[in-house]
Amino acid sequence: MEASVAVFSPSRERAEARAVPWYCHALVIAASSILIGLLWDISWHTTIGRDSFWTPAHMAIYLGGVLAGVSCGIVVLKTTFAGTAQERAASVRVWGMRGPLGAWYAIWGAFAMITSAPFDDWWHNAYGLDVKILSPPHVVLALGMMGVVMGAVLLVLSLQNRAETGERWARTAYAYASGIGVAMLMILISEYCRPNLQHGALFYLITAAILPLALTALGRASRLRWPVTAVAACYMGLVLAISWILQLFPAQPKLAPIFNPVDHMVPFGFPLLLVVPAFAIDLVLRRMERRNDWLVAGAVALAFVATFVATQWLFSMFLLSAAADNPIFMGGNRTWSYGARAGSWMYEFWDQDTDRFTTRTALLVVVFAYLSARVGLARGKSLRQVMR
Amino acid sequence: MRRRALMVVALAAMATPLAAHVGSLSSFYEGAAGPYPVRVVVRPPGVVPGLAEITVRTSSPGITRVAVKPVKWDAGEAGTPPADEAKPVSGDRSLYAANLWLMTRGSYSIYVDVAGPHGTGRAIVPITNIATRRLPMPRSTGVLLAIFGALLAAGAISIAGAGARESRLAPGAAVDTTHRRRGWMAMGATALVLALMVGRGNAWWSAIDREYRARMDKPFHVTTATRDGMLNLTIDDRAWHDDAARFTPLMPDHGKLMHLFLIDESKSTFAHLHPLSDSRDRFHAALPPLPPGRYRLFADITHESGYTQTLVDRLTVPAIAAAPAATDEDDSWMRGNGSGAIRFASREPLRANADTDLRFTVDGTPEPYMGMPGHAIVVADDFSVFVHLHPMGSVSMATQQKFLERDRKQSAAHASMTVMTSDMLPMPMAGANAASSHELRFPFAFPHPGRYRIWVQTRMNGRVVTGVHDVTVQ
Repeated sequence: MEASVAVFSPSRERAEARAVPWYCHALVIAASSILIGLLWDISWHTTIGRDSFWTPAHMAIYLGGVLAGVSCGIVVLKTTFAGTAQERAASVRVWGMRGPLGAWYAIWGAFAMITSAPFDDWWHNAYGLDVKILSPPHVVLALGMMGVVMGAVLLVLSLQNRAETGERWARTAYAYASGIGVAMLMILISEYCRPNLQHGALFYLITAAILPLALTALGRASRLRWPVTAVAACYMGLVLAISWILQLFPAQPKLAPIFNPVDHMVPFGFPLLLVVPAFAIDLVLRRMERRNDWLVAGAVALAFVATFVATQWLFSMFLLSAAADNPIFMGGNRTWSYGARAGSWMYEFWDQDTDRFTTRTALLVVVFAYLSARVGLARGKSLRQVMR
Repeated sequence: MRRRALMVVALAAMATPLAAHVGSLSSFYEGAAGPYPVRVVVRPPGVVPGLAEITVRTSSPGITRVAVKPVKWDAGEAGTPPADEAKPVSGDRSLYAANLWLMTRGSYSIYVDVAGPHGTGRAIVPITNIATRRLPMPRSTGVLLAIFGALLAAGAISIAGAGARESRLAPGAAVDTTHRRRGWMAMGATALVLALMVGRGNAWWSAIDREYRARMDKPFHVTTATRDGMLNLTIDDRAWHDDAARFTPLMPDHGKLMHLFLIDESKSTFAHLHPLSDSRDRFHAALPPLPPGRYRLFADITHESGYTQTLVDRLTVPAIAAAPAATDEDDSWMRGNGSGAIRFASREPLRANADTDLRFTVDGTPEPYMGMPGHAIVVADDFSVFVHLHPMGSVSMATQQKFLERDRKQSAAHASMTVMTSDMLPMPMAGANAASSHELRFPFAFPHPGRYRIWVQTRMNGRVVTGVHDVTVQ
């Protein structure tokens, strides 16, 4: 990783930002809108219960999709039919048309989001409203949303890697967009990540399989000084900010039966303390920059497992305690829906008999983390070279 | 996922509806909300969670507001959101309509609050909310999804190829053989991953569908047998045994723990019995001297939560040498065309799904039979519908009383609101809608067209009298 020395000056920053193509800003805004809408919608269903197609949360999600699809559609058309030599040089060809790779991802993602709408509508009429977050139509929507977010990541990444004007903006934007990506991943697996499950095996197995890959791949391609930490910090910052803001708004359940009378929007909950293992990964990557990736993966895996397991094991105990029952840490029953029957189960670790964290679990976690890190390092190496 | 659409349609065609009152999910209530006579129909959606349609008809003048809310038996009124306002239906000044989400399975009551010149009144309309159907995917949606799905798959493969082939080239560089090969490999790998995802997605969808169908609510399984002129019924359903916490105990409805009906295949013999309970699972009743043959059995039970079920079975009744004495003094049976003293008086033609009244004129004065002026049993030609009605509707009076009892325990705040359950209404007719005291009226809507047989029972001069009538519904 290069150490970059730069003089900070406000006018230079503004000039940088202006040099960035408008559609990069648009796509980053679209990705943000999707994340905000998603967390808002989850809160809506947890608090109020009833919704229609036209709730503000849904609009934020679809606006993100439409903005992404339309702006990237314009970029592709312009590059194909009226592009400058420079624009055409920095594009890839799909179905005879040209555009940046990130733009293609975003268009695909927007299309998938649109496809999921009639599918989801029929699904609710046939099987009722969703009890779980993931149903087949929601998987299509999730793939679409990830497509838009990955599009934003790739677009700003290519800007960073081409090292033209706007590169400094792109570095920050890349960490931010990657943070959105990690947040989306965490939402998808959120039902396995409740604090009550963090003394069990399954939580660590799933996170070990996913997180080293995501963090290493995204982090390795960044040109910031502490890239993985930056990505983790963006993820935590986004989830916290949105959760804290949502909690401020009074709301009332509109569906029966109400066993947990909530009076404000229910927040998503405190994010995983990913900055800790992220910092450990950063340290490893800095020290072992020139080494063989098979070795680096081993070091990353051990660093991740040691820091992540220790942090979450202890932090989850805090989150389930009375000390965390406040709007900052959102412990207690603050993340449970209007339909949850109050009980001691909310403050306990679950499945302690069936989901025990044994020595065997620990070994498996390390193996998963190793494989995940190895793939992540390879992907990170490829991402570093994305120019278009 | 495209083949799925066709399979789904085929499977749905084979799906048979299953319901609490057999073949008819809706709740009908003819009664009063405080000082205002009302007629309420609740049509649950058949999927859970789903949207139920509620219609309230009241011809009282000066009504200012009609509001409805769904009350789950174990959450009570405290665990219910604020009421929704029912809006007047255009073109019909006395009809109000609203939609309510019923989120879980089980026993609910719809509280209908009517405000007007005489204050506020409430009617409690129980509804057993269960999942009974799985909607097929409309062909147009299936085709649309198939096309979009194909486009998305092709797009994903091409974009993956473009990414591997060109995205890591310096801007403006030409594509060389190595990169072209990488492009093809990426496309191949993506196609493989997509194929796996579609396969897994199909399997997942099938699993959800299977699980949904398995959980579509069926009434308890029962085994019936006859011996020495006695009918023995055993509830041998696993849920009743293993999952006892899910179900509250049975409670009597208009005086009886179970109302059991035996109808022979030709529908010429009809018996209305009230078995006694030996234990939680076993019931027995003395059989009247029925002609031997194959019979269909329908048994209505009500749980303390308000959840109602109709147990269904078939049995062969042997020739009975000496019929034992009736188990219950209210047991009755008959053969043939029934009494001429009870005659069908509704205007035909009758239409399916249209709110109507089944009217019967009675020569003589009907006396209460188990607390009701009359009972009507409606059975479809193929036995796909079985409904047990009273002039107050299809709802269980015992359930209404239970909900009221629970409310009174929960708060005294509603002392100002008048709540009427059917037992409070003056005899012999429920509500003030009766035309004459020699007419029995049962609110109902036939669920589908076809032929139906209706038996109407009342008591006159101390004896149970049964009238029979066949209708064709369009």
